Amino acid sequence: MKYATSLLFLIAVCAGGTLAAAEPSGEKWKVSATMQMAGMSMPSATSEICTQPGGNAVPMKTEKGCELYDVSRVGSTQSFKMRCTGRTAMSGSGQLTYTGTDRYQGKMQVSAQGQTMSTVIEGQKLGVCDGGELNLKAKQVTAQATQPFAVANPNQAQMCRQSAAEATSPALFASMCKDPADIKTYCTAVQTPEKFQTLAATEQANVRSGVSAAIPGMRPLSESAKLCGFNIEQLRAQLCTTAESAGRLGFLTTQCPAQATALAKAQCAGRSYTSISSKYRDFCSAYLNGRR
Amino acid sequence: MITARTHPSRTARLVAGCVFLWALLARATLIPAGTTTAAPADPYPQTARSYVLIRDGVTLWERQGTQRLPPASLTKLLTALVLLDNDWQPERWLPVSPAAATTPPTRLGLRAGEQVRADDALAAMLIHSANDACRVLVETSGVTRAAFTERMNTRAEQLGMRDSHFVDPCGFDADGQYSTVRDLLKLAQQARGVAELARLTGSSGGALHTRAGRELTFQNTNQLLGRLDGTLGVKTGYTSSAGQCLIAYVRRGSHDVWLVMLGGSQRWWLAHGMINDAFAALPAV
Repeated sequence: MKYATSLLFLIAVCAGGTLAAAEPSGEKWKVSATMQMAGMSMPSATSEICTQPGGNAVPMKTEKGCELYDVSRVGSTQSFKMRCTGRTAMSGSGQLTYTGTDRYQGKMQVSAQGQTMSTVIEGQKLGVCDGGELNLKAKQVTAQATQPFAVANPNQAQMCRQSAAEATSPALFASMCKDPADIKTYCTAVQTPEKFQTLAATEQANVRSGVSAAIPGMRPLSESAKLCGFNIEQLRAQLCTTAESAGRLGFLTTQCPAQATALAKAQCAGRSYTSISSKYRDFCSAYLNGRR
Repeated sequence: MITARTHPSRTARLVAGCVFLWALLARATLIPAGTTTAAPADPYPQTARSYVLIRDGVTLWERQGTQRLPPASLTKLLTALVLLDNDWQPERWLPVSPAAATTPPTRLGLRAGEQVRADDALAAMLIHSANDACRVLVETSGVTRAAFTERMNTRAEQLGMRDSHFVDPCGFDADGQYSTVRDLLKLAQQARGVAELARLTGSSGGALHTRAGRELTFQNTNQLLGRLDGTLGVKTGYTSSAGQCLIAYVRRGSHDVWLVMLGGSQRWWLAHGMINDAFAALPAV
């Protein structure tokens, strides 16, 4: 829900941005956005926005570093493309179909960091609105959005604490969170076996699939190591020494090939699926799958 | 009218929204390949001649999904559907013929001349993949074997199994007996929708009592049951031509996985690992 809401907020912000050069009066639209990602549909989020009437402008605009281009309208269908550079590098395209003067349906697909998000957008005109007032608000929003994250508002501090504890996104965290306490929390979390394994798996997958290291977030373990000042191989070796005794066989399977091979010889080789100790069934299955 | 006092909180929410979107994009890096809308990957090329793995309705991994192959005893799911569709009388006593009693394994050990209840035979056929129980059910269905298989093919067509054809109701290899993992997925999902078949295929075992009082117990041939977290069924199959075949359905929390494989080897180890991998690949929320 918060993701769909986020996109809607972004759309709303950008619509407001578009209004900066508009006449004082505008059209009030109710916009519903439903985001789909990884096969899942998020609940719809709705908001009201104020747009400049007429013209060929797309009622959406992205933040700094993004642009809409190749905008065209044929009959009732408006198409556009979008691209962003920098830390939020992404590209996408959208198409809106106006089913009257007061209603449209559309779809936008955005690809970022190898993933595709699809958002279904529906708009309904509710009437007129005070474009001037919303322009002012949009300017304030834009100004605040460009301030350092840590001082923008109390919610940001809360999000930094959460992001530090989750330790899933070094690029986001490092760029937005500067509080030493948060950084300490992040660096402690990222050196736990669970977080290390998760980030290592992501990094390995990105390397295998040829995703550029130049894109922030694509080497989350390396980026974390740089942020926190630890050596990946030394930490991996240290975590491997205790993985088996601590029962972290998943970590052993993916991060400690030598220890995994030795354990597989001892516990998996020559044993049937049903006769093996349940303690080692997941490990042996994963090990065998990884060997094929 | 929005007052100036409301601006900071509204602004904060808007900024937070943008940041959350950014966070979403960052989290997206944690989603392994295969969860996108691109063509399904085949990360387990040596697992089976053909397989498909579906998580939450989305194909994660697939290999030769429409290749026609012998389905072995996975066929029995269709046999069960046809039996239930046609004047099914679960309490009816069915005679065991000499032919049924000498059917090749897997067998329950029924003897010619014994009588068994239809529901017990159905359970033995689905849980233990018992060919003697299957033969009894088909022989006593009221139609010839040819007519029975015609019903099977009609039912398969109704399910949209366009690359399937059946000539043996119990799944023995035969010319013209073929299906695909994609078609068998449709069949299994239909079967799971029938409460009795869902219950039976997820049972760890059962017992059959002949009319004379002899008790025969049997275990489920699906070794994932009780060994792989969340396994709820469905069916196994094996012949020398078909290799190891499996349809597995696993649910963990609000997520589920279907795995169908034909022509596999080391199916338990590999199915176990593949299904765990599928759940492990769920995006962090």
